[in-house]
This record gives sequence, structure tokens and C-alpha cells, in this order.
Amino acid sequence: MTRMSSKYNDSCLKMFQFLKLLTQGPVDFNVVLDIFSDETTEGKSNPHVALNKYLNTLKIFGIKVQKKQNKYYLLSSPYKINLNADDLTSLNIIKNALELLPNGKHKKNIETFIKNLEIRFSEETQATAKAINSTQNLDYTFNFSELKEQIKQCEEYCQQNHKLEITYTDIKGKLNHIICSPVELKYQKRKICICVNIQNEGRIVEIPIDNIKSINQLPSTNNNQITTTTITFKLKNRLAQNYKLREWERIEKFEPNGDIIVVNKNEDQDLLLRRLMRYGNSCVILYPKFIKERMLELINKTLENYK
Amino acid sequence: MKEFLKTNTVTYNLMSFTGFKALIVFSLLMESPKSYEEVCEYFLNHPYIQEKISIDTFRVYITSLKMAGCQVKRERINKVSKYSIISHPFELSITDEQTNSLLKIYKNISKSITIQELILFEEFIEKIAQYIKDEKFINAYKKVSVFKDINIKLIKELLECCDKKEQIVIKYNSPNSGKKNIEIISDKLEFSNNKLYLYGTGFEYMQYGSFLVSRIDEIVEIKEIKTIPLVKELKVGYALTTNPKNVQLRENEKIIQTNKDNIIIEITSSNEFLTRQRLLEYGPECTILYPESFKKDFVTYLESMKAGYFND
Repeated sequence: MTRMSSKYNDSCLKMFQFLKLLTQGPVDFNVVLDIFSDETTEGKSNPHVALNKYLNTLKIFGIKVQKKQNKYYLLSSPYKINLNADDLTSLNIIKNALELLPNGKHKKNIETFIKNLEIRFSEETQATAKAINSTQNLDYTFNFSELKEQIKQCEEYCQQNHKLEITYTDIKGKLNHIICSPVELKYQKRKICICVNIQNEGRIVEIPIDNIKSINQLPSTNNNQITTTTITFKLKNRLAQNYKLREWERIEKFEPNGDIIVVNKNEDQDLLLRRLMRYGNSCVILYPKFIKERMLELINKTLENYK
Repeated sequence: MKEFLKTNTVTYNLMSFTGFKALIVFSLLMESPKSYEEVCEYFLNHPYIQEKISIDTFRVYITSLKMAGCQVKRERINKVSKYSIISHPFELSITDEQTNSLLKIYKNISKSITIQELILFEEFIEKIAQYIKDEKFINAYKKVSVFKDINIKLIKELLECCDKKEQIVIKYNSPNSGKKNIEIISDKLEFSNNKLYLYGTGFEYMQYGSFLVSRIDEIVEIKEIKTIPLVKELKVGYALTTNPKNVQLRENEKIIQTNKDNIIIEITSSNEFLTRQRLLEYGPECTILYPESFKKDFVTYLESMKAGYFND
């Protein structure tokens, strides 16, 4: 263990302790006074004078501290982070995307992180950020701007976790009515879907938000258990070598000939079948029997178009 | 105080000079490794301090910084002892919860921003990760990154080639024939099924095709003189019974007729494989109308798919 010299500088420790607290968030005035309570001025203890002295020191050094409603806030840190215009554009994309999130833990978590990041911006980064914010008029929600309110509402449903009664039109334009539990919102290239779990059928359904006719939130809450059918399929040839597993999939087995057995859970069955159809004869569904039969039915019905 | 700020003169009554010097030592050692002499020189030239400190005082500052939570490294550089701060209590940190929320936002936006913006985002996260110094954060990000296992530099180069529609030779790691050079006229980079593909017209088969970017090792050559590939394009007409609202046409597709029960679409492509894949996805909602040869091959293909369920 490295030996540390016994001589240290009390002022340095106090100031760093104060700064450390400030970097963690707003600090109560009394807590700050406690740090400087044993400081003496002309033989007499006066923490207020000491505090002012240290606040001035920080100010002169270039660290901005603000007092608001009996709390101290750090506006710039002793540790500087340099970001360029591209980085700040990415940060603005995040801020912009936050607009689609309802108030809740995700929004709060990201806002806190961004705040922690911004107080560490170097002067140069601050200036660049200011310039970007005044010239760039970014709206990354433009793809979904018409659906902004619905998206926010659906995100809120997912957070609140109450059961939902949804009426929507499916891909063929047929009206459907389901009682389900919200799982998450899925953002896709040109659409946003709410992913729901129909518990009594053991399946997940992805509903494009703009296909929803009505949603009623029910008083009963979801028990958080997603119990859906597990689907197993075999992939062959080049597809087996190039296949990129989805987050909700795993490889169960590698066959000696290069084929792979994939286990899929929690994907909308209709969408999965469409996807597997695209894989053609490089894919065969193995289990469960009823899904295998549905796939065969799809192939047969397609063949019927040519009879 | 105001007067002080105007005149830039400092008195000991207004500030903690020791605290001020400690902040300076902190920021100097954060910049790069510094020797005692270099710190002294900085103090001597500082408009408010204008004096040296003793080696003992310097050691006291180092000890104080360590006690305040800084990790100070001492090393010999060109026979001189230099000090630097390698970690400190003001570093940017991110909680697991904040990481999860950030990744949720990333997943949301990654589908709706351009590849160029996704690259900027990747670089931004990598830069932030350097400040956060927590492997958990960057590993969690890498797991969900759309560019997982892909070289960003290569993507940038490919994007540039696509912009200029360059004729290029790529070294491709083909799952069937191993590493080989492929010559193509680059067209675009696009995600399909969460994988990044380079699209372009290949000279080997004289057809438009897609190449997994994760299988491209490098761009071997950018041709100075472009040649026009003799591509045989196929026009396939198909009827779709899907609700038109849910139909997302591709660049090579156009609606040629809208009927009460269906819409007639024509797709133009030189790649039969990609066309067949596109039409298979629609299942029974799609009926191929022309050409007869493609229709016949499609039916044979469907029969082979069906046979797969009885052979296995």
C-alpha cells in the first residue's frame, strides 16, 4: 500500500468536498455551511464568511455556482468535457426524441444524465452548443409528428401497465377487438407499433399506432408475466450462416451440416410467419405443430392463387 | 468583489488562495503529466499568484488531492518525475438505470434517423464512454448498436462511394465461396432486417444485388473509369389484396392500377431472388400476373417450400 504524507491542505479538502457534493446535485445551504463550520476568521468561527471566500475562489477560477431557494447548484464543473458540433447534434437528437416520451423514469433518467453532461461542457463546447441551438432547427420526430400525442399516450400506457381494450384494423382492413397488456412501443422505419400481450391466447401482437381506432385503459393491472408460445424453426444454407438473431431469439442447436435451430419467443406470430415466408425453402418451422400448420396453410393458399 | 473583477487585483481577504492554487494544480495535472518545475513556472507566470511554491508545499497539494478522491500517478518521463491525475471525483458517470433509458431512446431513434446520423451517434457514444470510463456502459451500448461488429471507417468509405455511384471492387467474405473480390457499381447502404447491406449492380452476375456490410473486409479499388454493366431487367406485375394503407412501395415499384379489391403493382429488378423474396412475404395476398416464366418459377419454388415440411 502506498504511504500517504500526513500533511494535507484543509482548504483544498473542503473545497473539493463542496464541489463533489455539487456535482452530485443541488446542495442544501445548511449542508454547505457545515463543511465550512470550523473555519476561523480572525480567531472567530464564521462559516458564512468562509463560504463566501470559497465561492469567490470558485468564481475567480471559472467555476459557476448558483444559489437558488436555499440550495446551491453547480453550473460549470472543474472538469471539462469537449464535444464537437457533430456530438452536439447527436445530443440534440436525443433531446428531440425525449419529446415523444411521457413524464416518467426514462425521461427523468436521461434528463439527469444530459444535465450532468452539460455542466461539464468546456467553454468552447458551450459556445458551439449555443451556436447550434440557435441555427439548427432539428425535428427528428418529423416521421411521426402527426402521431406525437398518440405515441406519448401509448408510452404512458406501457409505463402504467394497466390492461387495455383496443379496437384496431389489421393489415387487411378488418376490425379487431382485443383485451391485452401493453409491453412496449416499437419504432420502425416508417411506423410505430404498440406491442401487446394477449394473455389468454399466449401471443404478442404488434399494432401500428395509426391503425388503432380506440383504446380504453382498464382498472386491472398486468401481472408482468409474458407467457407466449415459443416457436422453433430451422434455417438452412446461406441464411443459416448469415442470420442475425433478434433480441428475442436464441440458437438452440448448430447442426453438423451448418443448419441452425432457432428458438423465437415474443414476436407477433403473423409478422413472424411473413418473415419466415420470405426466407423461402431455407426455413422450416419445427414446433409448435399449430404454427407449422399455419405456415403450410399460408404456402397452400398462396399456391391456390395459381390454380 | 466587483472592484476586484474589474481591476483583476486579488487580495487574500476575498478568496482562499490555497484553494485557488489547489484548483490550478488539479487542472494542470488533468491536462497532461507535469513536473514540480512546470507547476512552479505556471504559478510564477500566473497574473494572480506570481510566485513559486516549495517542493514540500507541492507535495502537500498532491496529498490533499489524493485525500479529496483524486488518483494521482507519478512517472519518470525523460528522467524527470511527472504527476498526472488519472481519475477524480468529478468524472462523468452514468447509472445502470440511466444507461437503460438511453438505450431505449437509441432503439427508438435508430430506425428513423439516417445512416450518417447513426454514425455521428456512434461516435458521440464512444466519446462519452471515454469520459465515463465504465466498461458496463459501452458494452451495453455495443450489444444494441446497429453497427455491431462493423467497421465504422468502412461504412463511411462505402457511403462516399454510394454518393458518387462509384464502380468499386470489394473484398467479400462469401459464406459459400470464401473470400473473393467482387466488382459492383455502388448504389446505397440500407438496413434490412436489422442488418446493414450495400446495394449495387454486380458485374459477376450482371444484376442488382445486396451484400452484407459485415462480410465486406475492405474496398480494394475504386475504378477511375466506369463501365456500364449489361443488366437484364425484369418487370414483374402482381396483384395485391392488402389494404393499400399498409402497402409501402419500394423505389423500384409503382402502382399501375387500383381496383376495388386489389392494386396492381409493377416491380422492376434485375435480381430475381430479391423480387421473389419480396413477393413471398405477402403470402396469399399476392398473385403474380406476369411474366409467365417468373410465375412458373415462383410456383415451383412454393412447391419446394411445401416439400420441405414433408421431407424434414
